[in-house]
Amino acid sequence: MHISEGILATPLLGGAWAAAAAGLVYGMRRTQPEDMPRVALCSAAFFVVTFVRIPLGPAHLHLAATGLVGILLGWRAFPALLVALLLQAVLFQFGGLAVLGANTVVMALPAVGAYYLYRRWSRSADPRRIAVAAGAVGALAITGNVLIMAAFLLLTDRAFAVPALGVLLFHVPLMLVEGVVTALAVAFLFKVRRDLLPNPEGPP
Amino acid sequence: MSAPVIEVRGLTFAYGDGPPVLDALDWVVPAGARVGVTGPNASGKSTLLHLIMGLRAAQQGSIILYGRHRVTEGDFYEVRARMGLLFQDSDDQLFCPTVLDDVAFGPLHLGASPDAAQEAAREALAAVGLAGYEERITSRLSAGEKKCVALATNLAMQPDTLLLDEPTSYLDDRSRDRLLSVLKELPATLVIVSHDRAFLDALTRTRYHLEDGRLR
Amino acid sequence: MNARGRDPLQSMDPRARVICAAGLCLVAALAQAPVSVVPALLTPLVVGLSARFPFQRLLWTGLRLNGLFALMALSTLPFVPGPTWQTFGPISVTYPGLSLVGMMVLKGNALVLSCAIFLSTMESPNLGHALARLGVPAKFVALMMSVIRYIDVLQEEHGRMRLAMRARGFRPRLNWLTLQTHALGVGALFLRSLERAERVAAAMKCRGHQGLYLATRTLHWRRRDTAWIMLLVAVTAGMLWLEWKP
Ligand SMILES: Nc1ncnc2c1ncn2[C@@H]1O[C@H](COP(=O)(O)OP(=O)(O)OP(=O)(O)O)[C@@H](O)[C@H]1O
Ligand SMILES: [Mg+2]
Repeated sequence: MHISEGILATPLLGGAWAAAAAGLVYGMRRTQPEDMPRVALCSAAFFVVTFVRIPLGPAHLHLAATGLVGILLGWRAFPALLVALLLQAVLFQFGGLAVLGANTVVMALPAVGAYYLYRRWSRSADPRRIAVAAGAVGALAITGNVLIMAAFLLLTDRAFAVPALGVLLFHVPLMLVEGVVTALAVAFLFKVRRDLLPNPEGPP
Repeated sequence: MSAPVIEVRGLTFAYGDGPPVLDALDWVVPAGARVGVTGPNASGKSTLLHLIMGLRAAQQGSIILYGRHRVTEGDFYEVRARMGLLFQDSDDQLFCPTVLDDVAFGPLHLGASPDAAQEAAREALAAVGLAGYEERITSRLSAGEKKCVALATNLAMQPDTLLLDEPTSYLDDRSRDRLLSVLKELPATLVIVSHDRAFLDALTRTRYHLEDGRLR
Repeated sequence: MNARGRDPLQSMDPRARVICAAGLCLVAALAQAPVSVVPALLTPLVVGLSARFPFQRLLWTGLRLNGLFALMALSTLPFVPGPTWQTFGPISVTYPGLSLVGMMVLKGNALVLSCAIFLSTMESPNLGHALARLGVPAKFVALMMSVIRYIDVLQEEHGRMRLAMRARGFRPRLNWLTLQTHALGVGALFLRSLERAERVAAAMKCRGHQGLYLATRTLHWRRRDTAWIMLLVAVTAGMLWLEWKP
């Protein structure tokens, strides 16, 4: 899931780059040296997961896992996602350099939101409630991703209303899929190593 | 007489642009046979087993399993329902949170109901001496325990053919003896890749040696 | 690899590549008139042709990108107000609509080409070295280098996991079990990543808690790299002139 090069208006590209840079700097500040491997490996795992294809009739969906990355990294999702998107642009020409800022905002802002929502909703020791919270957060994160994407299109030109609507509709199945995948993946982590998930009582 | 379980003709395989690992290899394993495969490290034993399971595609040659040519991914679905592979590295084989999930994965994907899959998983775990391990976290087991769970994932699918890649590595004497008796009782065609001569001697009569891309 | 350096791209300093790619992208992104995008589109094209860049590698990318643009054009053109260029039945295509779509196609292709020609042709670690030498903070570069390092590891791990699933009867279909299995794969992949991160952090501590491991590599800036920068300056000047010419 990404915006292609050439579509967004120049001021928007600049503004999004500024926002992404701010998020990047803040996220890096919150990354202690001993956190670096965790950020790097989550970034690499995100990179790998986005190539997973889920069959959907004649077409297929790509997973995004922004909610999961957000839950695991919080603000550090900005550097993690920016690096992964940069490498996807350079190695596979998905997205690109000019639109990298916009794509980072699209992916990382809802990821950070996911972190805070998850902390709020996961104050429980019941695995089922944790899974439901994670599922809701995962679905909301994708919804956020898609809404920002659509907003960028509309801000560029009102005439992009139909593509923006198309983007929204096309991703409705992904919202459900991501919800389920995030729920089950977090349930997995909760069962196996709950200390790897953020502690809702700890400092953010 | 039924067709051989495994028949391989002119099988040639290389990873990427590398040198050929298997070079026009021919091999026949009749139904009900128990054969051992030896060979130096990096000779391609694991690769051969992966090719037979359809997990990688050979550049040349044909793979005939249960009497039918197997080419497409679809051809191999049926094969994998009957033929099990014990991976050399159990960490490659096990990917579920708990032991029970992992052992039940196979039966579930072969169409068993969740209850039946769990039942099959419990039985398989008991057979390898791991009754009571159901709720253990797979990634926290010891290497030897992982090996036994990996074997159970295969047994739960009730294979009529079992390919075993280094089954005795990491096993202590007790687990090794249990494995030996489990395999002796198992009514299945067995292909055992191992460096453990005594283990092969106890189980197999036919022996192949893989070297320079050929079996002899 | 061309030892004698006749291939203009292979002999290029990674820093010059990054500057050229970023510069061309900036030029293409800033251009506001279709004609001023042309220099930024032609430059990577000409460079690629003269370096015998394997353009067939970009076939799929190009189809994907321009297919998307075709879809966008079809769904956008009827709705752009302005003076009419032509009418097709009930639909009238306007001049502003044409320019909107034209800019999208020109810019999109220029941006993707610049990135592909200058950056995708070098080993990705060199990108890190170049960024480090261009003054990007070491912490960020270290992060990027570790990501590059671990993508391969995780991709292989994920691949082996998929093999193991297939070996046990998994076949992707449109059903709940498939979705569950994908989730299992994602969960397992992240678990292994996080646990590996712990081991890496431990190994880092054993090596004195450095956190950043960057083997600085010496890069050789040559005269022809300066020539590349001159080319970039010329393209920029061309864009500005086309943009504001009387
Ligand atoms: N995924 C891979 N990518 C590239 N090369 C590989 C890969 N897996 C194995 N190889 C190479 O293929 C050759 C055969 O490997 P294989 O694992 O089949 O050997 P083996 O006979 O099972 O060895 P061992 O006794 O150590 O288990 C080796 O040279 C190895 O380096
Ligand atoms: Mg091997």
